[in-house]
Amino acid sequence: MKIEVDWTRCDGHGLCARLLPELIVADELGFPVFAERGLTGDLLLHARRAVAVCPALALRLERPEPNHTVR
Amino acid sequence: MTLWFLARAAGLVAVLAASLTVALGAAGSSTRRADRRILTQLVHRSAAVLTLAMVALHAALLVTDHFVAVTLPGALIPFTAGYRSVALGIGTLSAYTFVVLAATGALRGRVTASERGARGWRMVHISAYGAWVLAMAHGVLAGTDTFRGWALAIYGAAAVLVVGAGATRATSEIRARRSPLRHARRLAIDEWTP
Amino acid sequence: MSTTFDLGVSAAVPVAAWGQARLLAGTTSGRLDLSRHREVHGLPRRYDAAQLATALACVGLLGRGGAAFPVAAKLRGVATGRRTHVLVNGSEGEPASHKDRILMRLAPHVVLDGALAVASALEAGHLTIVVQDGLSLASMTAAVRERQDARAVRLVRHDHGFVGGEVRAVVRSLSGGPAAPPGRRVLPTVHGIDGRPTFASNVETFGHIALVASLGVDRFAEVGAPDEPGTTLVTLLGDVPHAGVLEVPTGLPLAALVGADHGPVLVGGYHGTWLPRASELLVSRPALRAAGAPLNAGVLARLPQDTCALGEVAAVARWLADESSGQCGPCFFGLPNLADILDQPAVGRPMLPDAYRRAGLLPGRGACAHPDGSAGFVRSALEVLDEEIAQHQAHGHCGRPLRGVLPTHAREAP
Repeated sequence: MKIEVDWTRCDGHGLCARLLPELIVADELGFPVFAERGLTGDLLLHARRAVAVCPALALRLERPEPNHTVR
Repeated sequence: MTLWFLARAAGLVAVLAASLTVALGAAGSSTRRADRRILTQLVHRSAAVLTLAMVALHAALLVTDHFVAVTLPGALIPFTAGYRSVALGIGTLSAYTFVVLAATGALRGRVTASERGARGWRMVHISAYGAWVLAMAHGVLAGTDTFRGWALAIYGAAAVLVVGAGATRATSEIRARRSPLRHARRLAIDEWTP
Repeated sequence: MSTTFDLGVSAAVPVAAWGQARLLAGTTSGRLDLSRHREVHGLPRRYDAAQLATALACVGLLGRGGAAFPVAAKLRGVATGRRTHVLVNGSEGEPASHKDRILMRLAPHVVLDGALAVASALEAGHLTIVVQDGLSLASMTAAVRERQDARAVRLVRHDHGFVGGEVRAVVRSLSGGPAAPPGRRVLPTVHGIDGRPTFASNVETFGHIALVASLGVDRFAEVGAPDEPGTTLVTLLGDVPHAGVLEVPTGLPLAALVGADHGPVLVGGYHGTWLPRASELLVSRPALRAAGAPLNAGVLARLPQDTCALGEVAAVARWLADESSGQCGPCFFGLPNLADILDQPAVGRPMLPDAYRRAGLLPGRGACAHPDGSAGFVRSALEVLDEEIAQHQAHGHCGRPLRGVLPTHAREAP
């Protein structure tokens, strides 16, 4: 599973960064910067919480698509 | 008779718990600090669980008790109770709405899987204000202590809590809409939609 | 080098071909109407979806809109049938690029042949062509009217800027929504116009599909680079031997197109990459991508020595910031932030670390590739223009005026 963000909804509240600091850091405006890490073990549980807690409902969990590039 | 008193007590606690729940739900956006918002969300969920428990207890006790003739179907199907059927019916509707709200709340993390889910969630969950009004109306209309001083104080406190939190939420939403990013997003949608 | 012959000037843009003109074949005398087009190109052979995909895979055709996605793979990824849409994207939102509008104005039937070939192979029920400017729209409209097989072609004017010309923004606009990329990355082949499977490609890509259909795979692959057979359209600007739109066989040395002198050279337009000079690079999409300087929409530029290079870059950075659709925080705030620091390199204060940091906060943080492309453009400029930047920081200027070689004004009027 991978955590994806809908940037057109993200308002930079920064709650996700608080719940998943291993993967997410908030920039100076509050928008998340994601690390290229897998959601292993415990992290998946924290990721689910981060997805649920986002006030803008901008986060979602997805199965990584095998080969698609979207342009 | 004891059960009857307990039922009324449970009902009043439920009103308070519901008011706390709704107020906390509204209050989330009033702070910019992320950790405070997370905490508020957590307490909101706990208060919601308490509300559901108290509502269930209240209904169960009323059905069990023989002081008033409220049967199980009367409690479960709105407006079919023999005793103050309108007032009780409102209570039943309110309770069902709280159950739906709790379900949507529990599923909040899952709705973002679909595009429409994210937008629809808030529309459904905002019915919380309506459920609260129904709960208050039920208490005032069905309750036998309504016009006692202490009961009025409880209803008053509940109203102040929810109306105050709701008003704060409304103003902070209006302010947030004016932010540059929100404004730009509206322009992107309005200006460019044919 | 083979003959260069001028194909005349269309709306003040010089047009030429090096070697054998294919897309632009026959256009020395101006726009090709249907009968002239058939004289030059003959009739394309008919393919079903599988045959067309095989042919396109044989020649390794890559998209000409910027993503350079393998066209055969895209074709194979679309469901066939009446629900399917075919979309020809002629929005050409980059101000420096003219190849698509030139192709539509001079050889509209090449584009139509390709679009209709795809539509018939997919048994698609819908074919839409979006065009940004009036002259191209007029040319395509006239061309559609001339043909018996283009009755159902829908022509739509789409003038929504650079980001609005991105394929998903176009799809969304045609589906009744805003002309801005959606927040979720969904392939148009899966969920396109009105939610239907959509084969969407650039105008020039459809032109090449027509060439494959009329020349056949072997003749098509006779010219060009082994890793990308055929020809390609590029738009050249600045201090280059032959400015304007050029059709060239793939695989030519970059230096042949932009000149071998000292740079800086821009490859791939405003979402592209700056290089210190032309170097040994060959102009084919695979080669340029491997070298970290993808061709994108085919804009190649070399800045003349008498303009302020930093100023040119800063002006484009500001334009890129203004073109943000304003939907995503990191782009909406980050691009102006980046443009600010390029505008005012403060004397005495090191600007590079801050500039790199701001550029680093852009890739992957938006609904489309606008922040990524813009960051790449600026970052490569910072690397290539370090001497120029040092001059600005030491003296406040480089002694050269800003000539505006890189266009940032609105496109020419219809």
